[in-house]
Amino acid sequence: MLNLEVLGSSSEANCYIIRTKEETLILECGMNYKFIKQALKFDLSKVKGCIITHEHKDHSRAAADLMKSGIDLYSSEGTFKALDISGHRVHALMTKTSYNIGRFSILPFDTEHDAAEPYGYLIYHPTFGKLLFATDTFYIKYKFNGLNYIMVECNYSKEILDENISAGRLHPALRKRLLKSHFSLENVKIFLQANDLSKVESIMLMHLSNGNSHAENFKNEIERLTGVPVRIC
Amino acid sequence: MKTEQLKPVKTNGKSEEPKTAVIIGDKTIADSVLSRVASLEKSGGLNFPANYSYANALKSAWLILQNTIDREKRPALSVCTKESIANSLLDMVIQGLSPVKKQCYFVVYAKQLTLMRSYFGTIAVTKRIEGIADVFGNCIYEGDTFKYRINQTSGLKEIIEHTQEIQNINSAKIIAAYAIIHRDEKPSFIEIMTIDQIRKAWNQGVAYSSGKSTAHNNFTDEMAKKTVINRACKTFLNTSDDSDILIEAINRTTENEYTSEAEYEEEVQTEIDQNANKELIDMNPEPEDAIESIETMNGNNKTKLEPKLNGPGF
Repeated sequence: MLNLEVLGSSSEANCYIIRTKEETLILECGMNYKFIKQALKFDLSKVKGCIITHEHKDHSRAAADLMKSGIDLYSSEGTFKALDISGHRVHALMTKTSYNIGRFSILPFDTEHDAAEPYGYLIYHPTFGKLLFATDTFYIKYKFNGLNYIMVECNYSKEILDENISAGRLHPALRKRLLKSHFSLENVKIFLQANDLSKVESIMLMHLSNGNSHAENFKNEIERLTGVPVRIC
Repeated sequence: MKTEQLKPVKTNGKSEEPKTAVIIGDKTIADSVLSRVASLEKSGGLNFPANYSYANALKSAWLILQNTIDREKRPALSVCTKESIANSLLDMVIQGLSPVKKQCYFVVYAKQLTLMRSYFGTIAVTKRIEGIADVFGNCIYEGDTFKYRINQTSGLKEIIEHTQEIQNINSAKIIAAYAIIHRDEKPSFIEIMTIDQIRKAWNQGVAYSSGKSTAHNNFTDEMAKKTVINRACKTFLNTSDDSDILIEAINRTTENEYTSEAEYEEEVQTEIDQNANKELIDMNPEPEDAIESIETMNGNNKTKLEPKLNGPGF
């Protein structure tokens, strides 16, 4: 069973904590460090590390603070260069190569976002199985087998986006950027259909845009499509 | 009736109704375009080239549209809005383009039918601008003698010499291409592009940047000429007097060529469709025993990671 706490999942802040009995893994640290510490109840002893997808501040804000507290960081070389941090706590990972962090196994893969070298991660732990974690990517090149949990960005729906633009609530220039940086509901659906969902226990939709999404509708649409319980982060 | 989506993207953010919009009543779309064109012609708002029959062009366009499909293979005529169909037909007629001569073609972007002018169409249209006599292009190969200068008073480029040996012609050794627009009673207009600039232009499109374009790879010389001629013509078309509806239609289709939102969207979606959800990747979920330091799990050669950037073994 996956024990997941969502501290933030938006373009302001992203941070998720996965807990097992003995180990804790932080996914993203895009918020003030003090909130992360509070969520951890100031007990860092179980924290095995923090994996980061890319250098944008809403995903990496607390990186340097985590490092100072003795938490190892995992991401791509490009991301660390862009963040301009280095040291013995910094682990640059290669795409499509598995690594062990405690009893967690992680497999980074490259994603499609306007960042230096963005990654998504396949995360395995014997207590919950395989979790796919992919955010800030307008599509995913890869397919995955035997997933148990899926955390995927579902940023906007084209329909709502176009409505907002024609109503003048959103600048047209933003549309171009969104199209080529974030996952749309329409493309998330195609992604889910391309993957083997037979073992999936739960799909978590992340990083919903404030104005261009509709949480309840997104949940219903994905549930109807996949027959898997959906949770909005 | 909505016609907004058809207008060119204007940089000042303001928009106005196109002067040439078609009102569609009960008549079929082609008929309403025909009658609109006839009334424009009668009122003197529109002149056609001597050998251009808009009725024929419309009929052949209509036949071509019967077989035009969108990316999901649905017929264009059932997918596209009536307004977009009418306006693209009108743009075609006003510019005096013929789809049979491949001067233009119709592309579906979402629910919009869009008229795209081909290279031949661009030349034909440019020649219709008053004062333009003809348009030519040439490639410059390694070993050619090519000299040009820039006229200090007019700012125009002038070619002093271009001599070419037949053995210089080699598609792999193009160094530049130029276009000449001959003008009545005015010095010719010259546009020169180096092969680097040409390739950059090509890279803007999906065909070349995907590496799959046989045209660009096998007929580099022709494609290079097309690119530089297109650019030369655009300089003219886009700086010409904006008052008449010919130029309005020309500019509308020029915008369609590379800045339309719909096209951008189409390109992005094509990229997604081509690349998404293809390669199956997986990890080895075997190791039950925790390994304290991180190790790569590439088969047998488990190497300890150096926890440094640029470290070996990465």
